[in-house]
Amino acid sequence: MNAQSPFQYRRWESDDHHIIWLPPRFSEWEGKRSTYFTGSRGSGKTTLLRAFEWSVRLHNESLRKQIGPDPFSNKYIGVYLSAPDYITYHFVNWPKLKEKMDSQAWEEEKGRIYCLYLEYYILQLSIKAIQGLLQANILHFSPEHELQTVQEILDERPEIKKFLFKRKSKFLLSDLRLAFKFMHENLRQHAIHDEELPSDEGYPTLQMGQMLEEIASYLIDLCSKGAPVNKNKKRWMFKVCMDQAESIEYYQQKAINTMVARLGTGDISFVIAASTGLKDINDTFIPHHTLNDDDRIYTSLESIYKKEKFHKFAHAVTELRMMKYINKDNICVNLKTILGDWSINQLLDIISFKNTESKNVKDFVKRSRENMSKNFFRSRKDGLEGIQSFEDDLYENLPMEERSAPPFYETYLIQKGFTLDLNIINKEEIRAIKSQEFRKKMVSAMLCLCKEFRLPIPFAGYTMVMSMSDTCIRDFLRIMHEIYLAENCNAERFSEKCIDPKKQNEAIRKASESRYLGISYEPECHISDIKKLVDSLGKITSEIQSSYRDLSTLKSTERGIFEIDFNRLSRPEDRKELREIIQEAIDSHIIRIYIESKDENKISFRLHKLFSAKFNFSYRGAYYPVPLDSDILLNLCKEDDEQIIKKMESKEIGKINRYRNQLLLSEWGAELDD
Amino acid sequence: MYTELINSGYMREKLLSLGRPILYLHGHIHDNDIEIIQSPIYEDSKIICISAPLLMPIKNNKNNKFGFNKIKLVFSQSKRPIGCEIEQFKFEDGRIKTSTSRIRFLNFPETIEQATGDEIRILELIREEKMVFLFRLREAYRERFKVEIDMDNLHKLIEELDWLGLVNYDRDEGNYGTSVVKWLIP
Repeated sequence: MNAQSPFQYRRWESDDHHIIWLPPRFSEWEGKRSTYFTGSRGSGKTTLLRAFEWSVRLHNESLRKQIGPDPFSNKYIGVYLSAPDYITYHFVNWPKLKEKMDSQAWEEEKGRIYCLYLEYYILQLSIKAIQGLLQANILHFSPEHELQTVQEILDERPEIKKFLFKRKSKFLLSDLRLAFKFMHENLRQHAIHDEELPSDEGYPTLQMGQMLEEIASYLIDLCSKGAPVNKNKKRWMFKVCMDQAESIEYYQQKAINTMVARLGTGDISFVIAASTGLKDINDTFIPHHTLNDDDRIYTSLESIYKKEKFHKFAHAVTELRMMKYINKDNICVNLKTILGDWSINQLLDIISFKNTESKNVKDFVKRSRENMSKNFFRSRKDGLEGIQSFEDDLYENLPMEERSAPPFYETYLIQKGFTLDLNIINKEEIRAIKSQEFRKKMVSAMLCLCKEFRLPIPFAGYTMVMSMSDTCIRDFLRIMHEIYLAENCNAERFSEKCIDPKKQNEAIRKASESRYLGISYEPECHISDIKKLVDSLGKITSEIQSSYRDLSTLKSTERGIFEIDFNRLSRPEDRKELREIIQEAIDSHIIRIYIESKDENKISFRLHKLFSAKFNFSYRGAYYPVPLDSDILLNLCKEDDEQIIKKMESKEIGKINRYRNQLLLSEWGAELDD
Repeated sequence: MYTELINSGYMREKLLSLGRPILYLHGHIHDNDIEIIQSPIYEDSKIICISAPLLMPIKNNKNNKFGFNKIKLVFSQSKRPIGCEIEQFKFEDGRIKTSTSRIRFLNFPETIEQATGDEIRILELIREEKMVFLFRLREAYRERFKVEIDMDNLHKLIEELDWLGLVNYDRDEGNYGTSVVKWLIP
C-alpha cells in the first residue's frame, strides 16, 4: 500500500521502506566498546540498531546517503537480534536447581546456559552475515578458505560435530550454521520440556561468552582472507545488536553484562537497547566486577535528542522522507517556513477569536485593539531584542509579538489586576516589565483566557509542533502526517508552503485524538488502567492550569508535574500494581518522567505533551510540581464508576489548588526580595 | 541377495549382467541397510539394495529399529532416471529422526553423454575454477556468455550435474548463492 503522506509512520517492523537518520554521535558507537541505549517507545531504538546491521547498511538508501560510498569502511559486521525472537519464559527456572547448589550457583548456571543459547543464535546470524557480504563482494574468501576455517572451528570445538547433519569429511559455513541452529533449538526444546541437559549432549561447560568469542575469532580471520592487496587492512569485527532487552529476566541481563565484561579479543562488541526499564546495566556474575564506562558506553536516547536538539533530528527526518517521497535528492525543507512561527496573540487572533458572537468576548477584543495604540505596545518587539535566549529555549516560548495582532494576553493580565502604566516610554523599563511580567505568564494567561471566554485553545506553528512532539519522532510524524493530509496538496508544494494555522490547529487536535485512541491498541496488559490514568491526569492538568478564578495560576509557569510517593500506599501489592501501571505508561510514551528521583519510592512525571490538544492544557506540558496522593491515583486507575471518578478528580483538583495558593520556598524568597 | 541365501551370487550376477542400474527394494531382514553392488565386468550396472525396517515392534522382537523409507527417483532433463534420494525415518526414544542419502545410478564417463548443452557450458566454467561458490559461477556465466542465468535455474543445472557424477555439489539450502561446486572429473 502506498503511503498517503511522507510522514506516515509505521514501526520499523511493519515498514517496507525504512528511513534512517544517524545522530552526530553515531560514529562514537561504531567503535570497539560496547554500547547500552535506553529510550522510551518511539525514540528510535530499533532504527538506530538497524543502522549497524550489515544488510541494512548494504541496501538502505537513506543510510547510504549518510555513510558514504563504503558502508563497511569501519570494518564491522552488525547482526541484529530482538529479544522476543529468542526468549522463552521456560528459561526462568531451567535448568532445575540441583542438590547442594545454592541459589547464587543456580542463578549462575542458568546464566551460563542462557548465554550458550544466545551464543548459538548470534553465531548463526554472524555466519549468515558473512555469507551475505561474500555475495555482495565485500568479503573475498574462497571455498578453500571456507573449508579450512570450518575445519579449524571443528578442531577447536569438536562437540559441534555431533550436531552436523551431513555425513561427510569436509564442511561448509552453511553446515556450521545449521549445526548452530540445531544446537540453539535443541536447548530450547530441553527448556520447554524441562529436561536435564545430559553431560554427553555436546554442550561445553565454558565461561559466558567464551565459545562465541573463540569461534568469532576464526570467522573474523576468514573475513580478511582473499582481500585485494589495496583494501583497508583493518581487522573486521562483529557488532551484536540486541533489541528490546527490557523483555529479558534479571539473571539474563546479568549474563549478557558478564559476556560484555569478559570481551577481550576485540573481535566482538555489543550494542544493547532497551526501553527505560532495562533491568540492570552494571551487574555481572564476575566477583567484584561491575560494568563501568571502560567496558561500555551508556547513552540515553532521551538525553541525546534533547541535547543535540530534537529539532535537528526532526528536520533531518523530514528532509529524508521528502526526498524519498518526491524521489529527488536535493530537497531543502524548512519546517519553520512550512508551519510558521506564530506568537500567542496571532494564534488567538486567527484561531480563537474568529467567529465569536459573545458580547463579553467582543468587548475584550475591542479593549485589546485599543491597547494596540498605547505606547507600551506600539512597538511590540521594542526592548525585547536579545531576550529570546536561554529562558525561551528552556521554556519553549513562542516568538515575540508582531504588530499585526492585538495584545490579548497582556490585556487579560491587566484585567486580572496586573497593574501597569501603559504610557511608559523608557525602553529599558518596558523591556524589564515585558520580561518579568508577561513572558513567563503568557501561556498560563492564554489558557485562563480561553477557559474564561470559552474559546478553543489554539495549537499551531513550529514551536508548538516541536514541543508537542515531546522528543518523540513517532509523535512528530503523527502531527505532520495530519497537517499534510489537512493541507491536501502534493509533497513538493507542501515543502514550499506556509500552512494556514487554522488547518494546523484542526490537524494537531486530530493527531492528539488519534494518539489518545491509540492507547487502546497498545499491547500492554494494563490498558484500561492506563487509559483511565490518562483521562484523569489530562482533566486534572487542564483544570489546574486554567483555573482563572485563582490568580496564583497566573503567577508561575504551568503546573502539572505530579509527585507520587509510593509509600503512601500501605499494601505492598498496591504499590507493585501502581508501579507497573506507571512503568507501562512511561514505556508507552504516555507519561514522561520529570526528574529521576534518588528515592525509589518517589517519582515525578507529567502527561505527554501531545495530549495537550485532547485535554486542553499547555503545549509545553508542565513545569511546576504538585503532589498527588498515590492511593487516589491507583483508585482513579481502577475505578469504573464515572461519578466516583469525577468526585475523586474534583477532590484532587481542590487539594492542588489549595496547595498552589501556598508559596514555594523559592517564590517566598522572591516575594521578600520585592 | 545376501550370502546366506541359496543362489544369491547367481542372482546378483544375473541382475548385473542386464547392464543397467537396478533398484532392489526388500524387507525380510528387519533392518534399514542400504547397499550398493557393482562389478568391474559390468561397468554400466549397479544394484542398489534398500532394506525396509519394521514399521512397528512385533512380539518377542528385540530389534529396536523401527521406521520406514521414502524413496524419490530423480530423472534427467532427457527423462532418464539418474539417481534416487532415500529419506529414512527412524523412531528412536519416542522421537522421529530423519536422514537423507543420495545415490547416483551412473558414474563418469557414462554420464557425460546425458549432460545438456547448457550443463556442458557450465561444466567448462567449473573446470577452470575447480571449486567455486555458486554466486561466483553465476557471475562468470554472465561474463563469459553475456546472458543472465537465474539462481534457481543454475541450482537445478548443478544439481543434475551432481546426479550425473560430474561435479560435487554442496548445497546451502538457505541460500543457493553460497553453495559450493567442485570439479570431480579426473
